[in-house]
Amino acid sequence: MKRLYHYPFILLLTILEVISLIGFECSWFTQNVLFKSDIYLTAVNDENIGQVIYDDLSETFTQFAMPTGIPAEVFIDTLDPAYLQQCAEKNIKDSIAYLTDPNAAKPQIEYDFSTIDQSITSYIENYSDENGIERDAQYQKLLDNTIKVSHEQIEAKVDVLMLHQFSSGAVAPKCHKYSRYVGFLMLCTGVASIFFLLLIIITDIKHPRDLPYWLGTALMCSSAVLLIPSLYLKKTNYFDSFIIRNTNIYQSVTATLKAMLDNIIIFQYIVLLIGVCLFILTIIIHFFFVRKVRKNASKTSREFEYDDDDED
Amino acid sequence: MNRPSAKTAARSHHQKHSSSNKVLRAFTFVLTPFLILIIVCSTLLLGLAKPYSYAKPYLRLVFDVEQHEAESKSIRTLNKYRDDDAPLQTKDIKDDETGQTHTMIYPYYGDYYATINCKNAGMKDIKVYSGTTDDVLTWGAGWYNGSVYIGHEGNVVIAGHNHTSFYHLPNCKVGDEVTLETSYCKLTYVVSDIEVFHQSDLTYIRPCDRDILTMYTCWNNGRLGMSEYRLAVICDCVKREWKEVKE
Repeated sequence: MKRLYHYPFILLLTILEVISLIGFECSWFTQNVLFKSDIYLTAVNDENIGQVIYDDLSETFTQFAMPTGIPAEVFIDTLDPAYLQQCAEKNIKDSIAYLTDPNAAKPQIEYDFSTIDQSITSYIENYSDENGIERDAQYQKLLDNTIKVSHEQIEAKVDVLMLHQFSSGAVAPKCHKYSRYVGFLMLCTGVASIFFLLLIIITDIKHPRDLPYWLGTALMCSSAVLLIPSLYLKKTNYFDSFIIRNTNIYQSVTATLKAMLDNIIIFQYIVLLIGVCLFILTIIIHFFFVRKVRKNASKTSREFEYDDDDED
Repeated sequence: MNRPSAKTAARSHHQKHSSSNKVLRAFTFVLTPFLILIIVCSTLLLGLAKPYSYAKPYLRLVFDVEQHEAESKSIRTLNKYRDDDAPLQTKDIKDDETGQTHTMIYPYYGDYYATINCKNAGMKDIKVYSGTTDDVLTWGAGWYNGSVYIGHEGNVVIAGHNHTSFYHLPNCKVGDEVTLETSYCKLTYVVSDIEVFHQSDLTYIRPCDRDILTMYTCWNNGRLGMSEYRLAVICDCVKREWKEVKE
């Protein structure tokens, strides 16, 4: 094995390189994966979320029918899984846009309630007519309250990732405000990574065969730092302990988090593999280099036969 | 006799030195990534310790790992809120009036707790479960677990839907007899008051000094739809009979 030159200084540079790479990977992931709605939509589509929301609302309205006396079909017949899915996706897109784009407007759940309103109103009107119930202020209040509660139920279920609710929380304005700095952080850490890499090259310019070793080490370490906790989360099924047990929210949120985790693990495996390849490449280079040096040395002088250090 | 030349000695020394250097280099070569990993991990741990301490309570709110582990280990076929083999929660209490000691069985959430009967109102063997969440109220009436346990003196509060378990509750009249029976006691009440109150008014479900039973349901005045009002039937306890509890 060949000697590693300028070891302490390059070790320090490699540590800084690893930290910069971790910063770059995290900010790149945030900017290009977390801040894009694609991964959320893919996870939601994989779970067939329109049908899940429909089933969840059917169960809710069946329970709702007991205290109200209104048959569950009055509510359920107006629901369409495809339309529910469309609304859920639109809500995800708008919420992500609000959280990541400082110029985006606050999201609103866009659901056409006219069909369900009409269904409830006509059923109660028919019932009142048949039973001779007067349509007074109390009648109107009960009707309005019933419609309002049904709207709230639909809005809550359509907000599958709870991003709309999150958007109205205290943390959302901070995300909204500071999201622009993620790109800047990505740029800074990217530039720092290149800078430290150049410094390593310049410092060790006389020994280019060592460059793959340091680069491989940096890649291996940066990937291991992110890979180890990710594998721990996957192995322990950490995301399955998500506290909200509402079917559609639970399935969507855990599916999204797992999809993200899988992406991180795959990406880090690739980085680790590149690092290992560079590491092996260094061993091969050193092996052939030692043989070449020995060969040359034996030809020129026996004095330098075993001297590995003075070949420069 | 041939003495080793200075050149041979130097070469031998160099060979020996070079060999130990090789081992050291190999170690350095292999261990450097681990050294870097340890240094970087330590740096990150130190840097992230404070932010993590801030985020930890929120993470525990969102991901309840302990509860999840407990759930995945438990056996729940009879009542989803507790393990089937959960121990019986019993307590001996002393009756101040008679001086006798009685055993009470405290229910787990979701357990079948008692049965209500009110012959005059048409309420027959209405099952009462522990808890008042939506799913519990679909099984029958629900004992509000913020009120006193059945058998203790105070306000026992029971809720039910007006189209299922408490459909006949509006038929109750002042003076009607209501019985509430558990596995450890049987209480006899007489309806003393009927009230309509707003859902935000907690007067009737709060603890009080009187030994009463409060049963309530949604009150739509005979109409359909979600109501903000509740109908409460308040009964005074007239008789308390204790049963022998077999464990």
